[in-house]
Amino acid sequence: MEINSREENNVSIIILEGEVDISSTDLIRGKLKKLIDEKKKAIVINLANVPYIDSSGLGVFVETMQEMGKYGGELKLAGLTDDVKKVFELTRLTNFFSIFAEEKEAIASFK
Amino acid sequence: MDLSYSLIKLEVRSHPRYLRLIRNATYDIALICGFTEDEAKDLRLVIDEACTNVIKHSYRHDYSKPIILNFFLYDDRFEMLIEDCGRKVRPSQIRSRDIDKVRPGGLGVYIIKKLMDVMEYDPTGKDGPRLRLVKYRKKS
Repeated sequence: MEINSREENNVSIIILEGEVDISSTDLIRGKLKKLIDEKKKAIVINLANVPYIDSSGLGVFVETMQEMGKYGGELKLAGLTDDVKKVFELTRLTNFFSIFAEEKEAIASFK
Repeated sequence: MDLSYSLIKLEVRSHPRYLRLIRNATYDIALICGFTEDEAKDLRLVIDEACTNVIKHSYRHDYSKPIILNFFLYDDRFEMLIEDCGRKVRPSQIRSRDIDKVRPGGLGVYIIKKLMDVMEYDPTGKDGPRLRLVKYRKKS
């Protein structure tokens, strides 16, 4: 799993690359926890290069969203591949997260 | 290919690094068995969730233990029997949670039940708990 990050217009962007399962969730959780500790209000996770995700990965995003909600922050998701989107649909998390086709749309939605 | 009955067996350690191997093997076996690509992807997710539960709950993250996967290929169905030597859980504890109450964790069993036709957990196996999962082939 590769994790890259950057800031743009006060939005923290996390770019994941690789399959997401319990072998990678600690790494992702650690990265997101740092942003939560800094009370970042806007995070976008770019999943365009994530071909696979299981419920461990979903759990990390739910946990992050709920932690951010405590201080008025929000996590948004972008670029879901068809296979990843299907897992979100299966678990009805498409109703819980704001999901965008493109990263730039997700960033713009925070304005 | 005559698949009136066939068995494929795979044994791996309970380390998360082997999940990818397990997923890919399951996906390929499902395709050999005649399932569509989408169905094979569902079975790939199911085996991942089942093995993740073994690693987390049965072995409590001890990555040195065995997970034995048995794939039974029948004309009308595909069966996966997952055996481990870990902690036994009461079958009543293996339940999916209310999907409308969003919280981290607890989605694995929901996914398995949603995608499989049969899910049976037997804690009384000779060497340890066994999870039997069955997917019937769609009638054409």
